Amino acid sequence: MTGMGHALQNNDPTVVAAFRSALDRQFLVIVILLVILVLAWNIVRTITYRRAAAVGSFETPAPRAWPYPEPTARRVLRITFGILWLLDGLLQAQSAMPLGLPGTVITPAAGSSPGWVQHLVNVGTTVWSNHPVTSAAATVWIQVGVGVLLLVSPRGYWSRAAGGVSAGWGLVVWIFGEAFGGIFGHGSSWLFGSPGAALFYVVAGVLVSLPDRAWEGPRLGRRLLGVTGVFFIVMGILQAWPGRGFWSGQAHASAAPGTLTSMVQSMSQVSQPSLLSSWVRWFASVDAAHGWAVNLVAVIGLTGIGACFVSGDRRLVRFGVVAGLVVCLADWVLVQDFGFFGGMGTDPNSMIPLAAVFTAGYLAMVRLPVRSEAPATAAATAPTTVLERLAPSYLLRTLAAIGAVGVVLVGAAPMALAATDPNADAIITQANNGSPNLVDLPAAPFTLTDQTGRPASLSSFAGHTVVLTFLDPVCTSDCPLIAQELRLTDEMLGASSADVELVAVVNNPLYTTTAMTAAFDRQEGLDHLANWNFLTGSLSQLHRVWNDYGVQTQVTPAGAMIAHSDIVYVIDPRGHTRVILNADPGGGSTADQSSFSGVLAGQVQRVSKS
Amino acid sequence: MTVRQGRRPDRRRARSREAQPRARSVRRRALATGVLALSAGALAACSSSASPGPPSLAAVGGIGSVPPIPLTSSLAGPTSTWTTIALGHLDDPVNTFWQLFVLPSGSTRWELSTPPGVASNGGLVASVAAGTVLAGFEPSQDLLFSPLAQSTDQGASWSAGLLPSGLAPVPDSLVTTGAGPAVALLRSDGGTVASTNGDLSTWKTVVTERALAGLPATSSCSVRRLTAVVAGSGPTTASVGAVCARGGRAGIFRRTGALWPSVGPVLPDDPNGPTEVIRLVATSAGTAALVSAGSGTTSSLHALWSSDGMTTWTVSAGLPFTGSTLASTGVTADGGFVIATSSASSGTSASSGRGGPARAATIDPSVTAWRTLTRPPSGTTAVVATPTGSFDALLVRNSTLTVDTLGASGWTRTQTLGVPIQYGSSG
Repeated sequence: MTGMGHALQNNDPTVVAAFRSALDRQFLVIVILLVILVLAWNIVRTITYRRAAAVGSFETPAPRAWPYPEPTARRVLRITFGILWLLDGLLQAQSAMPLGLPGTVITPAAGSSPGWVQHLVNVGTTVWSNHPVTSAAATVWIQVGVGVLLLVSPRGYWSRAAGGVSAGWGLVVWIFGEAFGGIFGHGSSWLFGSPGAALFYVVAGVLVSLPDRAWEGPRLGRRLLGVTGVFFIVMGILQAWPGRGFWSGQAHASAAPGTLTSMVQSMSQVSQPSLLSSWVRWFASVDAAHGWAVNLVAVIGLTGIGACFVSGDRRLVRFGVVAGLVVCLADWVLVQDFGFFGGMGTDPNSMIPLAAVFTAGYLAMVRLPVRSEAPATAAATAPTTVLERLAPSYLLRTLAAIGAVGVVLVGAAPMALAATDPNADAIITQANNGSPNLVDLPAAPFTLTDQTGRPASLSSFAGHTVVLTFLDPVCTSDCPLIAQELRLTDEMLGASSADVELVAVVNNPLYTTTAMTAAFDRQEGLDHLANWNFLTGSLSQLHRVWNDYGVQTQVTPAGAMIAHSDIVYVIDPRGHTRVILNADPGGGSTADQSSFSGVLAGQVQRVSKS
Repeated sequence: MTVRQGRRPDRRRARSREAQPRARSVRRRALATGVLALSAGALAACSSSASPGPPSLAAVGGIGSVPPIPLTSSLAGPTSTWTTIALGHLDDPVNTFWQLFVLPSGSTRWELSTPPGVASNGGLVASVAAGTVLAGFEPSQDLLFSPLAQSTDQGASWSAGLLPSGLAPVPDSLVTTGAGPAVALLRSDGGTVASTNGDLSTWKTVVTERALAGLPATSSCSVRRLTAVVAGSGPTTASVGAVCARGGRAGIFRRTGALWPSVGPVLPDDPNGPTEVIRLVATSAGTAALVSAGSGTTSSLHALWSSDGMTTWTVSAGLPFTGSTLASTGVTADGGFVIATSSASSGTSASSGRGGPARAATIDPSVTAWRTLTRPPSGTTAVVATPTGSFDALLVRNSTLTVDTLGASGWTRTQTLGVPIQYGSSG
């Protein structure tokens, strides 16, 4: 019924089922890829063994000799962010992600940002909203793939490439998923996650992608800590800035809470284990009672840690790292609530990645890689072929890295393909309205009056495919949306729309004149569409058409609009009804409209050709 | 490229730089920190100033501190009183439904008379004359023009019409003269007066706000916005009320051929201050207007009456209007006015009719002085005059309208009316 349309729920069963199905299919592809890689491993090893047997030498090639093991700091970054990407990938597999991410996560993140940020974010949101299943599944595999790639590639080009891929995808997430971490919006605070967790993924990815020589001295660590220190100081100043609500708690129960109190109070409401909830509630009450003191501690803590990092003094830096870890942990638990409980957490928020970055900075400064004294000895018998040069461990890691890249591509390829399609997927309309009902029945004839006052009948449209719907000319919500969907369908049909007639019949027993239909046409910009026909007639004529096409119309009291069916018929050039579609426009979003129009255009083309 | 060339030597001198005196390093860091700290300050300042605040009443009302005009309103005549008022979930626009109620003469029971067929979420405007009720629906959501409904049998049945664009959201934006011409004030072009000869679907533009503001006759007023319209004797004659930014004269302009001379009187408050016509109605004795004058703490309300075609006016004493927001306005059966106000500090929205009025007052042409009514019950949305000259206070709680009638002993609950609102029907 008109007016009853609502945006799809995040857990819409149709979309969730399609998401699970897409994940299953892509998982199957990944399993096949792994089987191929295992077979490749087996074949290479077999060939190597047979060749060795042929020459009577079973010495395996030594792995490539590195002058020193992987620097501790780099390893910490690589493994931490590998695990974080894996966790993020698993969080992306939540069933509510396809429909929920744009509205629940991305749009609120960009809400307070300036127009150009929102515009940029909207580009990504549009792609996601148009292709929710493809995008959500792609994100899962890209993040899992990046995580695996980081974990299985400790050294060499694969490892540096892993860092680059991690930084690149992190940048995509930071811009389109986190709206630059909200740094251009108001109310940003280090406590809440500013400047965005993904930015630290980018930093870590860039660091991992650096050449080995960058890690040889303490300079990288010093610079990293220096930059991190300045960041902490800036965040401390921002935290101390008056007028942002952080200095106030909550004077009494009915008073407006301060910014931090409000945030923590809302976090304590989300679904989570009671123990965690009680911690957050406790902190909310502490901040409510002592908002000024809590913020003072935060400001001193941030600026103090920053000053320690900036100093470059080992003891101060060590103290700063320990203090930073404590503060990050406290904020992660008490303010950020672990980042992923309740709602639709997509990552553990910013504290873990930030802690990993400055810890790595400290390790890069104090734990320098030690070159081995004796250079690696050459193999007794110089290998001659590529296969003979491949050490088993190197081969294994290479195949694993190829597998990880494969996992990334399993997600990235369909997403890239989908991004080029401006029309929304059919799954959205299927979720709103179910699948089209295919029939082959003679359509009931009618004779009415079009918006110009001329008679129009079904037989007058013979030889054309007719798209027939029922609209209320003074409707405030669904009917204008359905009209726009028909107009978009006409655009999608392109030149073939010349053989299609778009026909709407008035579906309001009180507002039936041609003045009404003409006003509606002007309002919707349909008055210049050559194949648009908005038909009306006497009440008895209209009732007959409504009955023939099973359209329900109900006059409701107290300022409600007319309740009526949202339905579209596709009638072939012979006058047979071939398709019946429910036409509830759902939330009326661009994706809803584009999806419906795409499905309708497809059905019209099918009927026209048959 | 430039950056790379600049960095190469640094990279080569990495070891020696590590050995440089720490004081220099610390100075540089301090400088960088200072610059970034200033950036943070600027960022924070931007963050603070970028915070969007609620629109001020002045912004809603137009210029200075003239009061915003509430859509909640009533018209009392000898045979009935009609009122438009919002019910439902008033904090949710798609679940706020404006209703039209009628109190027939001789009855103490209000009846729901909202015309069916159109969602009333945007608001309702009603005009009554010679047994005809003409109601207009304010645009809402994707509906951009205003459907009309007309009844000649006290709302028992309705015939349909439409306006080419949306009705201006003020109580006197739609005027019927009975079975004949009607005049409407539309939102298009910043305010357009249109008229029809009785066919409620064909409208002709009479004048626009821009055209009116460009006329020499209106220059002393500096017209800012059209706020009311009243029909004249013919289909293309009309008078309009407006917000005047200066001049101290009530912004009332009557069409005389192609001219629109200012016919409003000078108000006694501020000879050069702003004025705003809140109501402009035809009465059995002529024309009546409710006008605010001045701004801020000097704002006051005046009632005006003219019985000679707006040539001369009787101007009432001013009702000081400080720290209050108009909640409802009504016309009494004898051509006077009744208003309800709420305190501005309560944060009420006059246009949606929410909040409890702090006081109610009335004035009639024979006295020309405001009379404060007994304080209405808490939560009153509107105070309206009945056909017999008494007053009802209307209270809204979701789908329920309750009525208190003013008697000798104060306000007494006389009716509770449940309205079958279809929540969710507008999306």
